[in-house]
Amino acid sequence: MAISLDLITGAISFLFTLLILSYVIGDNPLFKIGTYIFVGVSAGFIAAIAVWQVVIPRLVSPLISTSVSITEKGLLLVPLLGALLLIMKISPRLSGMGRIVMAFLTGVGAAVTIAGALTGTLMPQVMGTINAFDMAPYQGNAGLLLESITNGAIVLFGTIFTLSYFHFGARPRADGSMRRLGLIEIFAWVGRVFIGITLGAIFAGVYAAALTALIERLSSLINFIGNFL
Amino acid sequence: MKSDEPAAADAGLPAWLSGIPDAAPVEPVENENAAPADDLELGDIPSWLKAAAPHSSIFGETAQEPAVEPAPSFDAPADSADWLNTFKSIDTPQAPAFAMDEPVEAAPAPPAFVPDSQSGENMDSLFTDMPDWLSGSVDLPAANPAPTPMTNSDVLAAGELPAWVQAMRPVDTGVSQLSSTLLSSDQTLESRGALAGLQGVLPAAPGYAPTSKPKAYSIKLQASEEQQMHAALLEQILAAEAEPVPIASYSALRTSRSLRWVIAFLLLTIITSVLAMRTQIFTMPVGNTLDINGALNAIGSIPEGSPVLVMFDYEPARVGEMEVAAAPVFDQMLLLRHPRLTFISTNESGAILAERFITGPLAGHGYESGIRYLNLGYLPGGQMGIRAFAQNPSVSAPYAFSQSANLFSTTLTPAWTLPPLEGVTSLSQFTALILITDNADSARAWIEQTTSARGTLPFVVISSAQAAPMIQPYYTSQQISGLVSGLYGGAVYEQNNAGRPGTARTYWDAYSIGMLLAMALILGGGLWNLALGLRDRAAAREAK
Repeated sequence: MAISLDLITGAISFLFTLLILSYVIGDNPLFKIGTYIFVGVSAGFIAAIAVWQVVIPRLVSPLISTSVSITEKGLLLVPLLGALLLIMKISPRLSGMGRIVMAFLTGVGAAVTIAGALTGTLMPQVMGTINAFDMAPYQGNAGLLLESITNGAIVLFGTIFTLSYFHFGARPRADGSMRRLGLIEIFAWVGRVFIGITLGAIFAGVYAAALTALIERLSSLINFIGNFL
Repeated sequence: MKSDEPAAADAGLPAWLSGIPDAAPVEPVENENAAPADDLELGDIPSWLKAAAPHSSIFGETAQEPAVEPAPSFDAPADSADWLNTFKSIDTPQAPAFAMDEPVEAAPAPPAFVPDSQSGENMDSLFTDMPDWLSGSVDLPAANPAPTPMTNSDVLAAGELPAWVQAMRPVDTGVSQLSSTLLSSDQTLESRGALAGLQGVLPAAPGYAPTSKPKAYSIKLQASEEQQMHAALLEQILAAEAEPVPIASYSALRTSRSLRWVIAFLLLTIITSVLAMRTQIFTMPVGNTLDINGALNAIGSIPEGSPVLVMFDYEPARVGEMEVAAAPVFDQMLLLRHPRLTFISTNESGAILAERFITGPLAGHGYESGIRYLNLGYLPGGQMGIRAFAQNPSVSAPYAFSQSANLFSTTLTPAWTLPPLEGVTSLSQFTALILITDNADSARAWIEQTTSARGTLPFVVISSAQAAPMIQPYYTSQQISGLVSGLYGGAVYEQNNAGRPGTARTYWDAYSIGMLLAMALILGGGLWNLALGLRDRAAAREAK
């Protein structure tokens, strides 16, 4: 009787699903076995991906290839040197040699992130909030116009009130206590309502995602058992 | 005489010195002006220094009792050296140190330091201006060239200190405790400085060790009853400060193991029952939201057989939700538009998740690797990698994901000459971008870093329900064309997929019941907590 690959993978999936679901009764050896194996397999897989999809095709193969020019090979020595310097970080005595590469990565990464956030999030979001009051597309349709204005107003005031909540500038009062300005205090209170709604939406999303994952796992268990019934 | 001298000397020696063996044979000094025994002991010491000799050793042992003599006056006598007049002792008068057969003639105790005499000038003169008797002994050649042998009495005399030197030494609290045996073992002879010629004068630091047992002190606190009462009161105050103050106004239901088991049992039982019975009690969601409409329009606008870039950026743990949401979108797209797909991922496991997706839920479409679709694999570098890919994709991801049967094959397949990428050299030459992600940060990175490169290309995001609230603003600002999120989005999209069956329908009842159960638990828990709070308030009111 030949054992199919699907059966093996199904059995492994079934077994590890049960191991992980055993966490319902608390932390136990079965759950630990499952997590340890998962962590080990994940680490091994990531290492294999890094070697076979990054190091070999982008560094080793071009260096030993005869079709790559000397200039390109010389350029490849830069990341090779950087990688070697980064490896020095594992030695406390030589870890300082990796600082140059880390400084380069940090600087370039910060520049790319900040530039991307400015051009890809901050400015477009500001423009989006402003454009929410653009009446031109809804001329002649009072219902859509009203909906657009309402949505724009909610987004605009929600943004202002939420930002007010994070304004912590205060002035001392006669009794020594520190209080924000009255208007800021009102805005911050309304901002808390918006923040609460946002957190509620995020919680609902997290629960929905987890529930879907649970449903998928239970469905796979039922299907696996159903194959034998 | 010869035999009597050591005895006489020993009689005047302190115990620690008497133990010193004779280093050199004692030879009688042939001198016409032979001095008495005591004078011999003092050797070449001038008369003023003889008189200043202490009557006790520095180690606390009393020297031979001197003859009773009146205490010398502290006024410097007229015949004493002038330079000595600058040193006037402030110590109490001391008796002459040495017991001599003949009393020393009015030799005053050498003056110790007085405040006025400690000026730098006087101190300099002390060590630079030698007295006449000393300078004469240096300048004049010795009458008798034969060196005078050193005897025990000489050593003893050199070891004696004048009072003014004694006044300079520290208070002898520690030294007095040293045993004579220990000190007598210190045979170091001072060779330099003012103490040259003295032996065992200063105790060596390493040898310092009290030999007597330290006095035992009781560790019992000597405190009166009142002090102990005050200490107890302070202890009570400090203990009260360290105690946590309970928040009386806040009481809530606490999670317990039994409650957790009850919730888990309810969820598992109900969902398993619904899935096993394959019920279809709940109707699928009706009506499209704006973001799903945007996705439908974007997918519908893709030209037939055109290249589409798909980014797989989700974890394997979310595969159930992501495939349910993405499957109807791709099913419709492949069915209607037959695009050439290119997969890429900034997640290490994204490449195999893409393979699983194309060979699992989309297996019916018969897409083959390298012909209808191409997997570029893992894109390293995070946001920097995305930006580099957006600017020059053929350089950033030059090779196809290897699916060779040979595990150790290093053969690289250039990707950009294969049919799925035919005619594509830049990001803007794709006809649409589709991002499948469970992470809002990943969505933000792709949106931000490809903004300038993608231009007006349709950009559809298929996300997990947990990331949707953070991705929604990008749809509102029209940076993305459409958004399909979670099982709900998949279910809605499935309604627009020409009635083709999908996984969303299978899960929908269990999902709906699970959501209702969560709502019931949250609402019931809140009401229960409210009832507890009202009961506590009523009890507190009655207690008042």
